[in-house]
Amino acid sequence: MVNNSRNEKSASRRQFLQTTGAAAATLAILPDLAWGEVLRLAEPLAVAVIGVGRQGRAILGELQKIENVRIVMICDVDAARLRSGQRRVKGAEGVADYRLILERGEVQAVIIATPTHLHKQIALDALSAGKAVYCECPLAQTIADCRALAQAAQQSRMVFQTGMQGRCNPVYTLANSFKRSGAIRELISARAQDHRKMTWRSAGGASPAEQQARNWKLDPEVSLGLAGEFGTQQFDVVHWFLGKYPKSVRGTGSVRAYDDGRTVADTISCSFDFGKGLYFGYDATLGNSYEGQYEQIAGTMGLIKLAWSHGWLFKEADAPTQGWEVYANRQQFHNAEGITLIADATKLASQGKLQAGIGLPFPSLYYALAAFVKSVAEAAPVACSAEEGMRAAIVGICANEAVVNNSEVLIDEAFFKIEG
Amino acid sequence: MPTARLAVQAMGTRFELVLYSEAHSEVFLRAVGEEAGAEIEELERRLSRFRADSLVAQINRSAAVRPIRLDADLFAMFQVARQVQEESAGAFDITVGSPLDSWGFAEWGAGADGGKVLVGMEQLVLEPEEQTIYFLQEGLAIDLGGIAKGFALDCAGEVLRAAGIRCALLHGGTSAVLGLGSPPNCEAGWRVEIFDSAAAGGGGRGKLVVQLKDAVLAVSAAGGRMVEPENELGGHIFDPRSPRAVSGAGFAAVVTGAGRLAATLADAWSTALVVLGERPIGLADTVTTIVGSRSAGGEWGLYTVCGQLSSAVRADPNFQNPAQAER
Repeated sequence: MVNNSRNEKSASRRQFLQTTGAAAATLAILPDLAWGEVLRLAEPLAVAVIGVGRQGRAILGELQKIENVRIVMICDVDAARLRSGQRRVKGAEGVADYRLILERGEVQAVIIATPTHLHKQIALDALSAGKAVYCECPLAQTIADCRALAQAAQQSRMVFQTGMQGRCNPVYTLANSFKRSGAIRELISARAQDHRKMTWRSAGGASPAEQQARNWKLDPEVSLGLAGEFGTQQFDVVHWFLGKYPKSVRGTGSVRAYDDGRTVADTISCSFDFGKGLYFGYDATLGNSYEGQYEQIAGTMGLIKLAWSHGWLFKEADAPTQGWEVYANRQQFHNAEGITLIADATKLASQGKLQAGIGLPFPSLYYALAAFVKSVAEAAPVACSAEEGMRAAIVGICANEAVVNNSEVLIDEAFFKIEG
Repeated sequence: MPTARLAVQAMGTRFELVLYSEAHSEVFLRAVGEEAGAEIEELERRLSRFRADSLVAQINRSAAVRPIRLDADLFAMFQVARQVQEESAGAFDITVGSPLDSWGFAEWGAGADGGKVLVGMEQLVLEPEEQTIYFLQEGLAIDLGGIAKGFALDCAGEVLRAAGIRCALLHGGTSAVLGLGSPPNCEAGWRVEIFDSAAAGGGGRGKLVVQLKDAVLAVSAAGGRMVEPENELGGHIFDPRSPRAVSGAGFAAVVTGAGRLAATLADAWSTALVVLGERPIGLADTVTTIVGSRSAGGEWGLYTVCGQLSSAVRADPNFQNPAQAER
């Protein structure tokens, strides 16, 4: 049978591109990349991945696209997951104890994709062992842990990157340059959502202790909830675009979808106060997947909508024409700065012509890992530092606290202070 | 008995899973079912050629330039595709991406060269030492539509088995079905009906029933979406040997035991059989085939069943004038 997913993709893109009455032009933001070229390192780089659950295995898949990266070791405490990970990588040695990786001299860099509350110790040990570190987000479970890790990373000579994918994403960086050049003018508000249909429950684990460990996301002692686990990535995008951090956050949450005895909310809503009347609204749920994950930044001249593999700029009718737009009447074009603009994206979408095929040639995760690998192998600047990771995680931790207590939490500047 | 039912939307269709187990709780079953569903969704992201960021899109863009690394399971899937291509003398060929592009099934695709159509599995090289795939020619493009659903079921089934589930039914768009164990009310296995939607108005007419117990079933038919390349009407399955769309009245189904990559194999073979129109001589007995045709009036008429699991296939009592050949 032949794949018919094209119609599915058209329908969801159409859903996405609902213009407001005032929006005069919709432009799809697509950077002109050396189309689909993978990163190639001049010298081989030996890496190891610690934690090969679903995210860890996705990391294995993306790393293998980069030429001259060798995944020499992988680690997981669960034997079945470890075997699953080994099926993803030919020739990687599998271990249950991450310290064996840190002792191995040939390993130059480690990627940490364990449960959040285990990040700190592993990352500190890895830095002490002289390894470069890519640490999945949120950075750590508590404000104190985040600060300790950021401090250790700053004091170490090693490359440390937090796995927040927005800052490495070419659509997002291009959109950010539009925003900085005034494309949307004065900021009005921001909103973001993460809608998924999943229970977050993990099967397996032979003993009750193992089952509890596997279900750490549903353990209120340990979990940062939807705000911390899902939201942090998106909060960081908003911080980056707004150029500042929120002063406080209000939150609420409830269990709406899964009546299985859990207390960690499966549906949440947060409102962040950036001061001077600038608010960012966020909602997340495990109970409904409509429109998935996106962030949007609204300004007086337009709105930028970002959905990881795609981005759009919705311009207001009274927005002035930007230099590059003079040429944007044609459907596709390349200008001097190497930007491809697809004008009239709405019309194309309604005709089913704005295909899923237009969009980034690699998943977001690939760009974050490629940036890390470049930093380690070629001394490229770090795309997302430990400090930026710390700040985003602290905001996530505060948001989760607000949700859990149905309250307002102040985000004190002092939280971001790194000692020494 | 504890049950879980789930569905995921993937590969242009709806996958459904039903799990039963006396030994586990419903919460557990739901969690396992979700993991199996997540496996299917991940495969859709990696194998869809309609996503720019999929592995297949990357292969179609770059495999003629440099080899692309595959993981062990995916490499094995490509090896099954090669095996079926060889044993069907080219009736099944995943390198039909180019003609599909030319004839308007996908706006997006690397290699479609303004009408020039390039097909040929011999241009695709699988290198087992490095576990890589590469193309000998630019312009080649793969489409995994004839095999991906089966592969997704195999991967999802593996998740269930690893979790200790012995009793489950999974299907992908009703065109590929995996039956593990048997349902609580029927020891003989999961009962799956193949019916002819064209004859649906006739009530129970035109139905075959297959009993799946640790077995897989894949069904293909030439009907469905039409293309009109140069005014030639055809269905959405391509004959890679011509290459043109397969027109005509055929349908084919394959039943095999549920071993490793069984659904992958069955999916590929059911596609090949629709193109071939008959079971090839020398096909292993472990692959049970049902090949049939419709009469000029559009009704199901003759069908032929052949293979080790023939006894699992029965005609509905209302089925008219079957001609059965059992080995």
